[in-house]
Amino acid sequence: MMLNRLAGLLLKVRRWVVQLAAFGLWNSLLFPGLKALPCPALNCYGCPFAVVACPIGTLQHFIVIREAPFYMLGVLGIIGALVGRISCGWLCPFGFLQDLLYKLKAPKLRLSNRFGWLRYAVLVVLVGLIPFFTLEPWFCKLCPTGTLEAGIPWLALRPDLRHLAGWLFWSKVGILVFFLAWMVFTRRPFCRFVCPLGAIYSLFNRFSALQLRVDESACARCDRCQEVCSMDIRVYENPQSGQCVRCLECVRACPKGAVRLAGAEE
Amino acid sequence: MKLQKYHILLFISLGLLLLGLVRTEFQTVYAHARLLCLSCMGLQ
Repeated sequence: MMLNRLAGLLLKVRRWVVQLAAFGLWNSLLFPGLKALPCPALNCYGCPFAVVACPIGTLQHFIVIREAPFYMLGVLGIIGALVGRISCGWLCPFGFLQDLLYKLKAPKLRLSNRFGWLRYAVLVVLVGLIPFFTLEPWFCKLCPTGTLEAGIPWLALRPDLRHLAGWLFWSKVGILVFFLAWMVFTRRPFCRFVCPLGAIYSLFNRFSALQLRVDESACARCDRCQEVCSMDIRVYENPQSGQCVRCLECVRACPKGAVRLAGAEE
Repeated sequence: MKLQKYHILLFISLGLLLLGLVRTEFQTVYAHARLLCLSCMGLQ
């Protein structure tokens, strides 16, 4: 019942308004004490205005200090079990940026989701194994979100830090520029092929309480769902795809009304 | 209501969250998140 209400509400509001509001909320500096709360999306806690903790940064920190991150895994598990990967589509500032950049007029490069497994490799290697053996949070050291939200703003705000910008900082800027350019041509490349938080949430999409359903008898297989999909998925082939960020653009766009959001019980 | 897979995931996650709260892990999260890690920003 509650999930049906949520689905109805999501279809009524404009997604960019929620994405903008989420960006403002995670980086409002209004409630600094909230940094004990995990952000449900990828948002760097090094940002001078951040009020919540990045889940991936926190997971790496617990790995480095050799403690089990029960609290963070519990929060991510609850979100994943209830709504799957919806945070990526509605609450992630970096996802929002990718949606905006893809709207720029430029030739578009469509890429298959065949290489989506790369994000699991990033999760295991860069977030798990390398921090475990080197005692350094290596995903954070390379993360373009951190460069955009923390590295560059700190250098802008604190001139006394500028002399510290060395090869690692400029490498991070290079990675950021690469992804920003890619985002203009391809839909959400960071979410589809790199994001380790998206990889964690992806595991829940198949089992979450909130599900995307396709009425196969109504579906005309016109591929309109793929045309509007943030993640370039052919929704009727696999509505529970781990790549789906539940942006609901397919629900709005389907000319036959064949795609809908529903509870797992239905 | 029939038991669904998400119920099991939800119970496990709630258990993990409670365990984390009992171990006051949020204090570790807070302390670390407040720290300005210059090396993570490539400033070193």
